[in-house]
Amino acid sequence: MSNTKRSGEFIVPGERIGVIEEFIPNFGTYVQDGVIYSRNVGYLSFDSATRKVSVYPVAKGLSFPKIGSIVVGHVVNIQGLTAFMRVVKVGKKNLSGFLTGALHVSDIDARYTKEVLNAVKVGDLVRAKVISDANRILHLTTKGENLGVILALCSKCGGTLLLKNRKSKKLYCGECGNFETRKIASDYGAGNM
Amino acid sequence: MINENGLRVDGRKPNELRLIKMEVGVLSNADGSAYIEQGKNKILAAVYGPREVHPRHLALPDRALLRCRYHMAPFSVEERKSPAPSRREIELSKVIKEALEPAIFLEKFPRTSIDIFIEVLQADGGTRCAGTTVAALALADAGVPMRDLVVACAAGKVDGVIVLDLNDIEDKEGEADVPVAYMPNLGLISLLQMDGSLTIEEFNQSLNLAMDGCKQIYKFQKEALKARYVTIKEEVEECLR
Amino acid sequence: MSSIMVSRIRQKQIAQMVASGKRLDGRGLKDYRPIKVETGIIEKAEGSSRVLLGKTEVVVGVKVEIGDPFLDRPNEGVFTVNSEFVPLASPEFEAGPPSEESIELARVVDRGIRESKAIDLEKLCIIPGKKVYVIFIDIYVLNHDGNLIDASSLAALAALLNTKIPVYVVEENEVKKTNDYIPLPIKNLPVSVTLANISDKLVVDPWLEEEEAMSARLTITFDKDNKISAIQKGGTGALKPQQIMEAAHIAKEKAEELRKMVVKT
Repeated sequence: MSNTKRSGEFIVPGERIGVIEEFIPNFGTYVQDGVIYSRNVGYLSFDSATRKVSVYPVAKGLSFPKIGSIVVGHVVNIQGLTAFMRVVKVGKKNLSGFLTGALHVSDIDARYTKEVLNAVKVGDLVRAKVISDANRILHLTTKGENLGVILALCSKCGGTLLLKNRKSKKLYCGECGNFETRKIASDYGAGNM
Repeated sequence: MINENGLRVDGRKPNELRLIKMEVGVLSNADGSAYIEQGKNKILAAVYGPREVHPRHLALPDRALLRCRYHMAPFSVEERKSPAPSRREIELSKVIKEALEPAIFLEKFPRTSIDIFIEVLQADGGTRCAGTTVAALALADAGVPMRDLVVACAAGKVDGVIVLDLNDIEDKEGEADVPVAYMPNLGLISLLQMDGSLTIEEFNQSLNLAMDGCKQIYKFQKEALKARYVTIKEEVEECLR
Repeated sequence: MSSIMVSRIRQKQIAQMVASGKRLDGRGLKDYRPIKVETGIIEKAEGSSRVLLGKTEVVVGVKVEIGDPFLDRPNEGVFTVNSEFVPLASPEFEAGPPSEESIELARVVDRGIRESKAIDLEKLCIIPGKKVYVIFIDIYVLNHDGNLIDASSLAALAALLNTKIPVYVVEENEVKKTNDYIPLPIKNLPVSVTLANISDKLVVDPWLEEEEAMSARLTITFDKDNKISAIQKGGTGALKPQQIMEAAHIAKEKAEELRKMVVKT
């Protein structure tokens, strides 16, 4: 295995990049016994100014959420002050399975939300952002214009809730006329995941 | 089994591999996938995850659960094989999983599972090794962070000669078979089995020959990943234009 | 599984001790636990044995029947190895279909017996192509305290050496059982030795907590001529090639010691 690697070189997991005396290991790398190895399939990058080495993963990448990732999921359960979401999409990629995320009442809206049920209900499709993975739980927020419920169902008859007008943010049921409230995303009902 | 010129039933030299072809990213539904042909072996592997574990009580608090299913298609062998997993397939699923596990950063994905599915479409001896090699490619294709690739190859003893990469007949009629999985950059062995009859010295030779074979197959593995990557890059550039 | 985090603390202790060349139970790195072999403990079985390896306890029963040979081996008897992890042996064992571990155990023991040609199968043919002896070797784990493979392969060998098969006579193409018994024809004596890799050191005969702390396990089966008949690596870690060869040399020595214990009885 040759040890002289150049920036931009194609590299696979396990390839030796250098030693910690020479470089500062950055993302896409790992260190064992003082040697820096790649842990991704991707492009090698040397930053000559900072001495940092990283491996940029290839286009496909892993669909595992990081802090800051935008995710989409269904609300499956509401317990006390927390709504639990079944996350099915991370960024632009659909998950092959799902991951569970937690949305706390204090993270639903920039404004005060008294009860979770005033803002989301079981079955709603929600776009959220990952704010933390503390205790290995995905903590989500829907604070922000483009975050929140993107499709909701009537809690009385199960019909699709429609937006009366974009300004009022009021939702009504197309089937039974029931009015409901949600923390909606700015593109509610537009069909964007 | 070895002729007067020292060649094997399929005309190979003792230390020669069968023809190998690999392709990465062959299944669109899977998070990662790969295909290998090694001799007449034709094997597909797919990786799903990291995703939430089902059933949930199997989830591990500090790392991902790695699961592996090695399965042979009913038509993959001479006589139809029942599709129900045999004891052999269950054992191989276990040893292949244990061969791949040391290479994966499972601790990055607590409470999730990474599922590997290996389907043998046609078997020609050495399917556990080819299956391990192709599963490692599928894992890399899924973008799962890894310490090293894993590459596997068997060596064995046929007609008193230590040979590399046994085919079906050599596997059945030969004196011994030593499948080995190897992490080429870390120099570690993660799968080792043997059956037959070998002295310690013969075993040592077989082990070394198998590791040599692994190093050769590793080059194909890298090429397969590169081929996949280069086409993606071209597709992206095409879109930008 | 609820004890993952609890056992992790113990694992660290064990790993640190092994790194300094010691073991929690006071053994040397290359010592087996006390071994006790008894045979003929189940009268209704044609052969039986019980092996105690420290607190690990395994019973093997051998039953003999008459059946059909395999099509490709018409002149040979047949044997199968099966193992049961009965729920009384460990809180981890559950009733139901056999686990991966149980299947692996049976297959590793099977491989040792088969590849060393321990049973003289050619002598177990009654009518070629039609009737042969079928030997069922059933491994019953009664108490799991680690290293089930060595305990089971030792117990299987002891039980086979203890097995008496009924003599059959062929009269007018019919197979008839006589009242005579002869010992099962045995050609070889396979013995497996298992080593665990803990803190990059090889430890012989890992007990339960060492199995939880080990990164990898290597089982090597030697026959009576000191040839290797079977190898199985287990566990989620990896091994260095030098470690494997070191293990092979240790195992060869230990296998000879173990074999003496069984052949003596």
